[in-house]
Amino acid sequence: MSDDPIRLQNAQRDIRDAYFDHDSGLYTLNCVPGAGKSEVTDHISAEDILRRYVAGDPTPEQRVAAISFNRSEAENIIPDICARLREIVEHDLVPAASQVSDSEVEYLIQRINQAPFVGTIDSILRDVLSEIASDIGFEEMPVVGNTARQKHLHKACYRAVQEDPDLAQRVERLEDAYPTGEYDDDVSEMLETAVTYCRDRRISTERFRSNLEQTVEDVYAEGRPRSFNDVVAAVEHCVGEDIDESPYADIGDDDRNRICDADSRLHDDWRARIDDFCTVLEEYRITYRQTIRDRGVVSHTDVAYLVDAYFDDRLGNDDDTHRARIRQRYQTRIQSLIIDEAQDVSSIQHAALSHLVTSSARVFGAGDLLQSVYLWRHAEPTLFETATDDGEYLGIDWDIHEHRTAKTTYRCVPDVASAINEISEAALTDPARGNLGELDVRYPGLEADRDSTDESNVHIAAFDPIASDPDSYTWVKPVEGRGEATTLATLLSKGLADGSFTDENDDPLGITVLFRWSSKMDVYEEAFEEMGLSVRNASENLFECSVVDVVLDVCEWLVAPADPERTRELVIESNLGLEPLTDNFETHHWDIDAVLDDCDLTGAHQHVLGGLSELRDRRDSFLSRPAGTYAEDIIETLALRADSYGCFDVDPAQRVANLDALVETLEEWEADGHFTPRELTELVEPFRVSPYMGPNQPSTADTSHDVEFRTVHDAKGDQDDVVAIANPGFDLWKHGPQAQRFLTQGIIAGLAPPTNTDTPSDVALPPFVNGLYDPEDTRDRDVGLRWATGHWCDDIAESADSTSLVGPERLRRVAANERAEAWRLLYVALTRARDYLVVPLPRSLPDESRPRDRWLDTIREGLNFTGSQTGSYTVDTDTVPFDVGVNDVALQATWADTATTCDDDVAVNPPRHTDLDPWVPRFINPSTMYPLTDDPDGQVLNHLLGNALHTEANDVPDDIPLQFDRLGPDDVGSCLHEVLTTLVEREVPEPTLRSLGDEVRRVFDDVVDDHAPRIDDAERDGLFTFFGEEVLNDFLASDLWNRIQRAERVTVERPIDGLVTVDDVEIEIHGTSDFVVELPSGEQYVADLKITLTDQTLETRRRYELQVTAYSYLFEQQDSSENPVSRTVETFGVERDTIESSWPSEIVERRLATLVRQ
Amino acid sequence: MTAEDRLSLSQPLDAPDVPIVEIEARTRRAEARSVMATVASLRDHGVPTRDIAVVVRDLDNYEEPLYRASVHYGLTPVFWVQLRVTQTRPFALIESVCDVLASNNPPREILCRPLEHRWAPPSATSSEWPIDPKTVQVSMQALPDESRTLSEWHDEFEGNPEIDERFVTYAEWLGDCPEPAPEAVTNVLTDVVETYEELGLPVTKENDSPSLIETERDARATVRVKTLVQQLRHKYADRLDEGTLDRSWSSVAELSQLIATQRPGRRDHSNARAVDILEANDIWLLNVPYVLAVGLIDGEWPQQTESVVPPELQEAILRGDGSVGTLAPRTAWTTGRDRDQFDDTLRAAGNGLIVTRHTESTSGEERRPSPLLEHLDTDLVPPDERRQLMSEDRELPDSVRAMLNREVINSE
Repeated sequence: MSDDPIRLQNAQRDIRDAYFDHDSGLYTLNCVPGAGKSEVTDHISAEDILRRYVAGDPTPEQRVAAISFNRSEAENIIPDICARLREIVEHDLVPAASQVSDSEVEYLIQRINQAPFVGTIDSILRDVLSEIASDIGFEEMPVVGNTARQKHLHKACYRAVQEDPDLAQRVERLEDAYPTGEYDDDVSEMLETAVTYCRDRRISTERFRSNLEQTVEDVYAEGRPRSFNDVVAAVEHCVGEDIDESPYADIGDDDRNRICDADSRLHDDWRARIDDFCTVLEEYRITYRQTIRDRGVVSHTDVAYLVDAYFDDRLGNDDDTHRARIRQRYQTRIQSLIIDEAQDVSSIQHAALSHLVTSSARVFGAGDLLQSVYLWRHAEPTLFETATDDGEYLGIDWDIHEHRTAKTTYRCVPDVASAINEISEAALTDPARGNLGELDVRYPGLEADRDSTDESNVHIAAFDPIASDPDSYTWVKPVEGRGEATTLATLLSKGLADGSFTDENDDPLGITVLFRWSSKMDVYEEAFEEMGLSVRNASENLFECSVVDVVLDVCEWLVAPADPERTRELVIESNLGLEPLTDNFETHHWDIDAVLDDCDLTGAHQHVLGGLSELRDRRDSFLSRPAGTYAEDIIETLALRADSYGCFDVDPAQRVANLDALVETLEEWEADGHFTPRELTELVEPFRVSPYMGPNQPSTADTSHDVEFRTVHDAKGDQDDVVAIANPGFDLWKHGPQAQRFLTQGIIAGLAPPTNTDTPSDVALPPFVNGLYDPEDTRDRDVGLRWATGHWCDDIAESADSTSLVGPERLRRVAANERAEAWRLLYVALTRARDYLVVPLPRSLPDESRPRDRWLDTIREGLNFTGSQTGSYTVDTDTVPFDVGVNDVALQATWADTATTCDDDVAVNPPRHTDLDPWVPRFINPSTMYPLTDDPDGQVLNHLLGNALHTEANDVPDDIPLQFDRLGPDDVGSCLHEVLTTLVEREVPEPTLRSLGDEVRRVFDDVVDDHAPRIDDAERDGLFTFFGEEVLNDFLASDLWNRIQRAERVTVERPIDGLVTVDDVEIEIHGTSDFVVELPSGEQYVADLKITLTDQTLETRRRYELQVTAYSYLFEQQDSSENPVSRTVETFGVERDTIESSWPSEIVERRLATLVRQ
Repeated sequence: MTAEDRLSLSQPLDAPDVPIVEIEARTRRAEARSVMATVASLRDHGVPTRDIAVVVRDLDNYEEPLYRASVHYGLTPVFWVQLRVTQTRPFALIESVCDVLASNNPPREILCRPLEHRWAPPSATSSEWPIDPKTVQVSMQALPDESRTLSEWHDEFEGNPEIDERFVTYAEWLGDCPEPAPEAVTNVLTDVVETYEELGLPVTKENDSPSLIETERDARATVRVKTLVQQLRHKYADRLDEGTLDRSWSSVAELSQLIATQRPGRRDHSNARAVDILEANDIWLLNVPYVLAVGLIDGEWPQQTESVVPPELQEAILRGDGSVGTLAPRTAWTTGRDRDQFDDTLRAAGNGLIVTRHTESTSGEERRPSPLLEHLDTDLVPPDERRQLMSEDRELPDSVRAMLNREVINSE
């Protein structure tokens, strides 16, 4: 443990003091990035638990809930609280620390490791759901957050509304109006989003309908247009100013009428489609409500919704007492609620949580409104805003409310802080940028606690771009010349080589390159690798990988492998490399075996076809085993991890990792069930169509990577020594609301006008380049007058507000909120840096500067970069000036990745199925040793099945007086064997035996009843007669009986075990000797009993001899006494014999050795 | 238990007197491969199979990855857990027979499934039965993709020249199957499974590798399903009497699923060459020179157990406070049982212990080391040596190799 523990300071300390000064209340902390938000939440959680323990609560971890929005951060809460607790006690940081022993700390830590309310908000609400699931109609606790199952479920719901005769026409009309497109939501996706939205906002379909209608009314504020002038008025309404109408002067009357008519039609169609949509949605929601219960599958939003609805009594469940009990249980338990990243909590999560907390609890919320970047995931930052400003949170107006703002950052050095302030203060407080949306932005400014360094901490990778769009490949990595990516890679690579980005031990610093979108990561990666930098990138889609595709293609083929169509698809369209065999397949009617047998094939083709044929033969096992298992069978059979024939252009380590990830993903999706190939194909289909919805490819770079690529959203909450902002030149309006069909943001919902209404595409309505409405064209800032836009008002009317976007009020608000969030995202990106901030910037811009539309220009302005600076320059600020280095690394330095790479065996060699050593029995019985060692291949199945191992024997003679109706010859043998051993064991006296007295008959009947309860009397009596005459008489006349009579001790059925080791292979021998007779002289006789119904053959005799020899061997191993042991096999019945073995006991080892070395 | 005793449950474990090496891998599957690469390397160095044991807290998540990893390295694994009989062919066979008989109008997929699972008529001979998979599939393809009654299917089989003629035998057998009375059900299913034993199982053996992994599994399943069918008769009769089940073949299928998922059954394994892979509750009192303890991940070992008893009451009972002091605590209430099992694992190792864990979940989230490792002095295998272990030119990490030398020194 470090000698220098973290001590809370300033606002951190103030809020902690306030928290512990009261028994209840709301405590909020607004933190700049790096202000130690997590340190404060960890500390408060740890100290709270400690104080409760010291006050006598033996289960204090039950009282404290510590939660975060972010899953990966939530994973660390428990270890962080434990570490903080240890630190608090070791360094005596708080008064309670001195009151616990080391053992008690360990005890507390063990308890904290089981704390029920630590994790994500979702995990806590899931816990609540598990308590109420059966009350609200679930058979058992449903599967939560399983994306594939949810997709599958939505598909079923959609199918249900499609097939509903009352809705079919509406669904069809909607499908025509909103057809499936590569980047557009189709009707099923819109319904899915609508359900989530309604649940998140807790609104009925009626309210949702009026929300959509409000948007239409807002767009058609003047109502249904009656003339072209109404259309012009709508344009003016959107701009908010009188506009220059001269561009419309050229539009003739016909066109004006055409436009007006089209606009009226659009208005009517739009309203009609909203009616269709809401009618379908109402039914869809009913189906959804039932299907989540039938299938036991819910989303995280459903969990929160159900918890809230349950406690609000909106689900119609009647058991008030149970509800009150559950509510009370949680409210009693949760005495302290500590929420990290409070700005990210959604409306429904907040509603659900509010049922679990009362005003007698202490609630601590830490967050940063400026880091609110999850509007698209329904985060509701205004809830935290109201908490900090008004002391209202979780449905309680708190009597005690304390708020602090922590402005000191412990993360970045002063120069980086200054640079961030220069860029962000301007951007975030600008009403055209960060302050454009509804969130009230106050920029606190970063005050760095760390010491300054004497070098540049802010670097620009300056380059001369080819005149092009700053978001184009020509700009980022042109075919010729150096683009943005190569310049950045050069700076980082040479900076590593010349020591700019290494620590005092010359070890490279951690470098993270942040992207807004993952779309340019591939070319960046290429550029970085060209500069010798190894990249860790976990942002590529798993379902876009060719080798993963092959596994799924084969699964699909296995749905019906004899279907020529499916085989044709596999041959022609899959990446198996079979396409060159198309003609051969055509000739051979798509029969794999025929192609294999008749055609001259390459090794690779033989391997693949052989594999497919094998998989086809094993298809039946895929019907009863989990998909994860048979996906693995496919991978192994086709040796995909090793890719011995080089079919896939995927890096070996990535290939292995992706295949592993596929199998694990399928296992996770399946949970406890299993999908047949047909079901699996249906399940994965949405993810194959839209791979971005599925999981990412795992990263394969180990800790030795030089650079990590991440999206800004993914990096939120993390930090790194060096942070570079990649691809800052994208347009902020790209992917904006104008390009979306369905908007659900906060209180606003909007469904775009139908795409199939005929509108004139040849007439523009300046400034709308797409006229009335042309949703096909999403390359510009608008798709026409009647939907959202990304235009600025002052671009259209100079006098208009330069901080206002064009559009009807509601759609403008959506666009403005998205824009404002994009600036907060830049702030999040910049504030990940600890020591160095690096940005690629062009020396010149191809067009005029557009700081309100691009990060690039804003950063350029903030860093005061003109393009002409070289070396280093200083930016003067109101507070701390800072230096900026421009390409200031040693040009001659070369960074080479020193890590040696060698592929894992699994990426090179196929599974070694054929190398598996042959089977050798691990357990062997003396009585079956002969047949098993004599003919292992012939006997192995019976051995494995536990069946009798037969030796070649004579037929049972016809004249034997037994019926064999209920009891066959084997049963007769084992029955009479048991009767005889039981009689000896019970020490039945000889006269009783000789006279076949009552006791003999009783034992006989009991044994026979066990073996064959329904045996008839004639068969039973016949068997008893046979026993008396053919078995017992001989037995009583035998030496064995004589010895038993004279014995000091007789043991019946004594286990004898031993071990034979041959070439490191251990074989255990487990036998049971029927009689072990110890005479007063010390002599021992071991005898095994056989009831024979036939004359012996040479084989049976050998079998008995080996059995006797095996016993000898075992006794020799076991018995160190000097007394001799005699062993025999005694046969009674049709043939009476005493078999003694003349074989040496080594023969046992020899026979087993032969087995091992076969 | 006194409060003092209670505290002792969280004390660090005593360190074993053998060296402990820790291997870290990125994912669970990579971890499984590093485990089996280590086992293979130990074997390369002449360590006998029985001197090695792989121990996992819970094989549910590890059986499959370890199985694949074993085969990759040419090792036959043996898992000391009960068979998942519902995932075996003999079970699938009897279940699919029930499904066909339960349906009035089976579609072609359901109808033909028993044939896919190697159904054969009770009187069959091995030369003709079971029908090979390709023939079944080709015939299926020639059938209409629709639902029909058994008698309509029978006619289709007879009339359609593209259908293998043995399908008719199958349809006749289905037609002759009795109503689902308990004894009749047992007789039908016993015939089915016994015929499978006779004719289906040898096919498995024929297709299997010489290590007979599949055959052994199939044989275990056959034995288990035979027992299950016998149990089914009584339980089905009981349920019919109680009125909790109706008399139908689908009830039979449902009930057999229920009985089978209880997972009892034989656990003894037959291959002397197989590497033992055990769950931690089986390591007690064993003494094995090299033990590999797998999956030392927080949340997996120890694993939190759920209980209906509130934690406050559990704690009071554990401490023996007040009137609840007379109640007996369950070991599962603390992670004590997992801790004890880890302790048993530590004690089982005669020459050296190798603990392994992974660092990332499927979706890339961090997996933290088990708190049980916190107070142990382990020797973490450095990345270079780990890469070498996993490479084609496999080499044991130095610290594991030192265990072998230790053995030599000890024996001198």
